[in-house]
Amino acid sequence: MRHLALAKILVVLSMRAAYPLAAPLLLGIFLVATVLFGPNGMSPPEALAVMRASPTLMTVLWAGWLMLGLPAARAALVPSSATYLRWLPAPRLVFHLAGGVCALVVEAPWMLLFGRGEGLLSASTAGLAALAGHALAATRPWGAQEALAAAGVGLAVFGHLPPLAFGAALVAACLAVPAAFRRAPEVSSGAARGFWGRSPLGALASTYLLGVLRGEPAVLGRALALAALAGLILPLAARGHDLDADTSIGALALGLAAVALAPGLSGAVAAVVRAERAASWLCDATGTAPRTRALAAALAGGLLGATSGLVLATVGALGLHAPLALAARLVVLAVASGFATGAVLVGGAREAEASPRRGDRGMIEALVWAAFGAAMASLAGELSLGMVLGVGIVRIGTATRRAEVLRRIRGAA
Amino acid sequence: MTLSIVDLDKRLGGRLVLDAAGLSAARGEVVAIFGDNGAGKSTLLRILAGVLDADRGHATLDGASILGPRAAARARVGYVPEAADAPAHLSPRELSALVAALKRVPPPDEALLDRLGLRAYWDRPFGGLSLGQRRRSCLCAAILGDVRLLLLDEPTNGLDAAGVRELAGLVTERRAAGTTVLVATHDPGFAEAIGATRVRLSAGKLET
Repeated sequence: MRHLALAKILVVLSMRAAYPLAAPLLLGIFLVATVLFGPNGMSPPEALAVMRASPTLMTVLWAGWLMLGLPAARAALVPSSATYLRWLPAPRLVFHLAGGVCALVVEAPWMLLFGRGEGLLSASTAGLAALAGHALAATRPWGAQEALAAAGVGLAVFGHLPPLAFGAALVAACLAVPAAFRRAPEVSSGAARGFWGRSPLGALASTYLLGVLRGEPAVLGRALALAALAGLILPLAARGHDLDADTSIGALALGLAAVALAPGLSGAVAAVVRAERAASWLCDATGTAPRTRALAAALAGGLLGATSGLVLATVGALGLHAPLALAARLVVLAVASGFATGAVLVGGAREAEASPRRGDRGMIEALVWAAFGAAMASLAGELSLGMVLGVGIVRIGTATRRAEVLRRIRGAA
Repeated sequence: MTLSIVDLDKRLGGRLVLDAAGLSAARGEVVAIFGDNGAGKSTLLRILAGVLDADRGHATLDGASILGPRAAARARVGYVPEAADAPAHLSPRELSALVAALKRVPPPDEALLDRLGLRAYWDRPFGGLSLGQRRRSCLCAAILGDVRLLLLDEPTNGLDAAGVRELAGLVTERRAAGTTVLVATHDPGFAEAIGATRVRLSAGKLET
C-alpha cells in the first residue's frame, strides 16, 4: 500500500507529460476513424483482413503507428519529470507498471482497431506489441535483451497463432519496458549530438522541428488530420471517376495533395517560422549565415510536408486496397509533393514576415501554390511532380537570397 | 568500511565516463569529488542513487549492495540531485510525506523545517520554487530516516550564503552521527568547511 502513493504520483507525471502530445494524435485518429469506419466506409474486420493479407501493408501501418505514437508513448512510459523519484526505496516494478499502463492509454486507438476487428486477445496482443515497440524505439543503445524483445514484437505482429502472438507480445513488453526505463536517463547524452550530426543545416532544422513538436504539436496534428482526410477522399474520388490505371490514381493523389496539404501545412510552417524566430538571437550570436537559416527552415517545413504526404498516401493506399506497387507509387508522389509544399510555404511565411503586407502574402502564396499544383496535376498527370519540384527549388532559392532582409528586420525588431 | 565502490564502469553516448572507478569511505567520512565539467561526478552519484545503472562493477554500503533494481540497502541512502528537480506538482510537504512513507520513517519534525527555512514555501508546488528552495526541500527529504549514505550533487549551487552555512552545519552533524557523505562539487571552500577528504574524478577514474 505504501507504494500506492508513489504509483499515483508516477501516473500523474506520465499523464501530464503525455497529454499535450497524445491529445492531437488521438483527436486526429478519431476524425480519421469516423470517416474511414463510417457508414459508407470499411469495417475494422475488413481493414484487418487487408492488413493480414499484405505483410508489406502490415509493416507500413505498424511502422506508421509506432512513429506517430512514439512521442506520446515515450512521454507516458518514461517521463523525465519522474527521474528524480528513482532514488526512492521502491521496487522498479512500480515505475514499470505506472508507465506501462499510461502508455497503453496512448495505444488505445490501435488496440481498439484490433479489438473491434478480431477480438480481445488480438487487441491485447496489439497493445502489448505496440507498447514494446515504443519502448524499444525509446531505448538506445540496444543489447541482447532489446534484440530479443524486437524479435518478440515481430512474432507478435506477424504470428499466425493468436495465443503464441500474445505470449510473444507479453514477453517483448516485459523485456522492453524495463530496458526503456533503464536507458531513459542516458538518452540525453546521445541526443545531444543532434539529429544530423554536426551539420549546421541539420542541427537548425531539427531545432525548428523540435520547436513545433514540443511547443505547438496541435498545429502538426491538424496538418496530419487534414492529410488523412485527403487520403480518405482518394479512394472515393478514384472510384467516382472510374480510375483504374496506376498513373491516373497517382495524378489524382498529386492533385489532392496540392489542394489538401497546403491549408493544413500553413499552420505548421508558421510554427516553424516562429521556432526560427525564437532561435534567431542564437544564430546571430553564432554568426550563422542567413542562407543557412532559410534553408534549415525550408528543410524543416519540407519534412513536415513529407510526413503529411506519407499520411495521405498510407490512408489512401489502405482505402484503395492498393497492391504494393501502387502503394509505393502513392507514397513517393505524395511525400515528394508534400516536401515541396512544406518547403515552399516556409519561404512564403518568411517572405510574409519580411513584407509590409505580412500575413496576406503568405496566405496568397499558399492558395496560389495549391491552385498551381492542382492545375498541373490535371494537365500533366504525374509529370507535374517535376514541375512542382522545379518551381519549388526556384522558390526556395529566392527565399534564401532574401534571407538577409529578414535577418535585418528581426534584428531591428 | 561503510561504503565500497569497486571497478565501476559506465558508458554514456559512446563515451566511457567511468572507467573502473573505485572508492572506499569509512563511516562518518565526508568525501568531496572534484573534476572538470562532464568528468562524470554526477553520473557516479546517479549510479549510487539508483537513477542510472552501472555497466559493470559493484558498490556496497555496510556490505549490502546499493546497485541494481532490488537493492534493499537503498532505504538508507539519501540523494539531492544537482537540479533538485522533484515533480513540479508536488509541494515539499508532499514530497517529504512520500519519502517518509516509502522509507517507513516519521515525516520531518518542526525543528528541521525551521532550520532549513522551509515553512514559507512548505505547501507551494516545486514548479514555483527557486533552485535554492527546491534544493533545501530535496535535502529535507533526503535526510529523512536512518540515512547512512548521503549523496549531494553540487549542493551549494543556488544557495544563498546562509543556506551554504546551514548546509555545512548539517553535513557536519550527519558526519558526527556516522553518515557517510559524498559531495560532487567545484567549491573548495565548501569542501574545507565540511572537512572533506578530496578525491578527483579524471578520465573515468577516482584519484585521491
